[in-house]
Amino acid sequence: MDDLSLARKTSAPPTGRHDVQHALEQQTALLHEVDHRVKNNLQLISALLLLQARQAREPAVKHALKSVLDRVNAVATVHRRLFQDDDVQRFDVSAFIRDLVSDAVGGSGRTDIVVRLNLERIDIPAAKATPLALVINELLCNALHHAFPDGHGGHIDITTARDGRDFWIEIADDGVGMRSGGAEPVPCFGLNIVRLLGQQLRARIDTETRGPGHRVTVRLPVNGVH
Amino acid sequence: MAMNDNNEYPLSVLIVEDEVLLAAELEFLVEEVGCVPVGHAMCSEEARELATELKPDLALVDVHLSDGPTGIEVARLIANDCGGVALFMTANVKRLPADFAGAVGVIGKPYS
Repeated sequence: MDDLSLARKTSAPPTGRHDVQHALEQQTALLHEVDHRVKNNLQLISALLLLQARQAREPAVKHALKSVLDRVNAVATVHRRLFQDDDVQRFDVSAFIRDLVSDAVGGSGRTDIVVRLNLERIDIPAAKATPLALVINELLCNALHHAFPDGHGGHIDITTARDGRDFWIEIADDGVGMRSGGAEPVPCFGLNIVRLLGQQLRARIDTETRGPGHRVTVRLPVNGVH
Repeated sequence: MAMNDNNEYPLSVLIVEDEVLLAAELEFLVEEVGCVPVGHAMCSEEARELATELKPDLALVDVHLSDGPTGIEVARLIANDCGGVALFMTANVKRLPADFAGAVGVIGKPYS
C-alpha cells in the first residue's frame, strides 16, 4: 500500500454531506438570532420614542417625536415583511402599503378619513425597500396630518400600478391642498426626505395641487433607469 | 379611548414582558384603545401569580421572559386555568408550538 492511498483512507474529506448540513444549520440559526435582535431593537427604539412623545409638553416636540416614531415604524414594517416571507431578495410594495395604512390610519384615530386602496402587486429589490417605504410613509403621513385640518374628513386614494418601464405609486387626497402663504409652513423635513430618497431611488416625483386636494406620483424605473 | 366607549366595562389586560420599556409602551397602547392594564410580570413565576390573582380578560405574553423561553407555559396556564385569553407577542413567530399553547393568536414584533 502506498502512502497516498493510506492518507485517503484515514482523513475524511472536510466537506462531507454531514459537515455541510451542520454548517448550514448553524448559519440559519445565526441568521434567525440576528433577525430576532434587529426586531427587538427596532421595537425598543419605537418604545423610547413613544414614551418620550407621551411625556413631552410642547406640541412641536410631541409632533417631532411622533413623526420620527412613524418613520421608525415604517422601517420596522419593512423588516418584518422581508423576514416574514421566505424570499428576502424581493419586497412586495402593495403588501407593505396595506400594513402601513392600517397602522398609520388606526394610530391617527381619524375615523373621518377614509383610505381607498387600488393596489396592483409590485415587487422591488429588497435594497430599495427601506427608502421607498420611507417615501410612502412621508406622503401618507402628510396627507393624514395636513390635508384634513379642523376635523374635516375626506378621502386618501393610494394606487400602485406598472406601466411599461415604470412602476408608479400615487397618493392623492381631496383635502385642503398645500397651504400657500399661511402662517404654518408646509412641513419641510418630510418633503426633504421625499426629495432625497427620490434621488437615491432614481424616481421621478410629481406633485399636483388640484381643486380640492393634492396628488403626488412616484415613478420608479423597473430596471433602475427611466 | 375610542374603541371601548360603548362597552359596559373595559377589558383587563395583563402584560407579560421582560423588557420594561416594551411593557411601558404596551401599557400605553392598551390604554389608548380603551382597555385597562392591570399588571405586569417579567418572569413566568410572577406571571403565574398575577394571572391566578387578577384573572385578566386578556394576557399579552412575550415568549422570552427573564427566566427563559417560558412564555409558552404561561400562555397555556392562562388559557387553561385562568379563564383568560392569551396573545403572544414575539419577534420569532416561527418558533411557537403548532397548537399555540392555547393562545388565540400572535402579534409579531415589531408592532406599532
